Amino acid sequence: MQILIADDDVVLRHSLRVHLERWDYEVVECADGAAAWQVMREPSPPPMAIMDWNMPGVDGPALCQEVRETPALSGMYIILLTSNASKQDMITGLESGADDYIIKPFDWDELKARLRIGNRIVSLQQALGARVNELQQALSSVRVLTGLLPICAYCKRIRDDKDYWLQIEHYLSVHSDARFSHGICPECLVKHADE
Amino acid sequence: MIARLGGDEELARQLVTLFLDECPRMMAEVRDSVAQGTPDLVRRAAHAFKGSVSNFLAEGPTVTAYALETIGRDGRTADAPAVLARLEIEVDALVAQLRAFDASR
Repeated sequence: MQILIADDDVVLRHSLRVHLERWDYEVVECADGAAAWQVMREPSPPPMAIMDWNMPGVDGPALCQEVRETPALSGMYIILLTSNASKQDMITGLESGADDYIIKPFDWDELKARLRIGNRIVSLQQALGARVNELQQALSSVRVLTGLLPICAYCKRIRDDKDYWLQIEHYLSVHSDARFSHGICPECLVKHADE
Repeated sequence: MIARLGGDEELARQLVTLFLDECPRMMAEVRDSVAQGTPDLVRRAAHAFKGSVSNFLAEGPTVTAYALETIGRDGRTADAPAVLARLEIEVDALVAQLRAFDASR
């Protein structure tokens, strides 16, 4: 899975890259918030991101807010990785739209475990999105007749929206996927036997 | 230090090289910010340096850079030069130690 790293600390960035690649992530690195935002605006942005709080230009929480206000990025899983360790900072960071908050210095095994949670959520969201698309496609191929149909009380023709009176089987075959095979019911057979 | 960097000596060497390249520029930013006496610049420069140096150790220059960051946040820039002087001494010692590690391969 692709993951974006946005941190102005070149040492930590390299260390993150090496660890994440060992854990089979595909890493995209950015040294500041503006560069990260540019990557996010590309057609297929990484579905996960690790962001520093304090970066030149756009900081982590501001970037989180931008992401959450952008419908195309609503599923992005964001971890704020910061040395801002107060409870208020953590609340502010999470309220800005981050999914998780890790305080530096951190434990590599803990980061790996938290990334696995993010990976699982993103995978579930992607599977759900794919299923919704399949259902939408299936739904668009199903034609359903609804609404009020004007029908002649005697001959049972139906008036269409162009004011033509159509045989009921013709109307239904145009407005649904139903097909007709003609036969004679027992009552009609008795009634029309002599004709 | 290697344990703090994930227990990987090769990676530790790569990170030391990166830090030794970056350290002069980052320290120059800290010095400039203190010389200008602008609290927010002091806070930002000290915070960035603290982040980088904390990859290697939790004490010494990491603690002092944090003290400088706090000075910037609190707007007490008159206290900054003395703390910067202490930071310079600690950073010189760390750099010497990292250069020795770098040369020891």
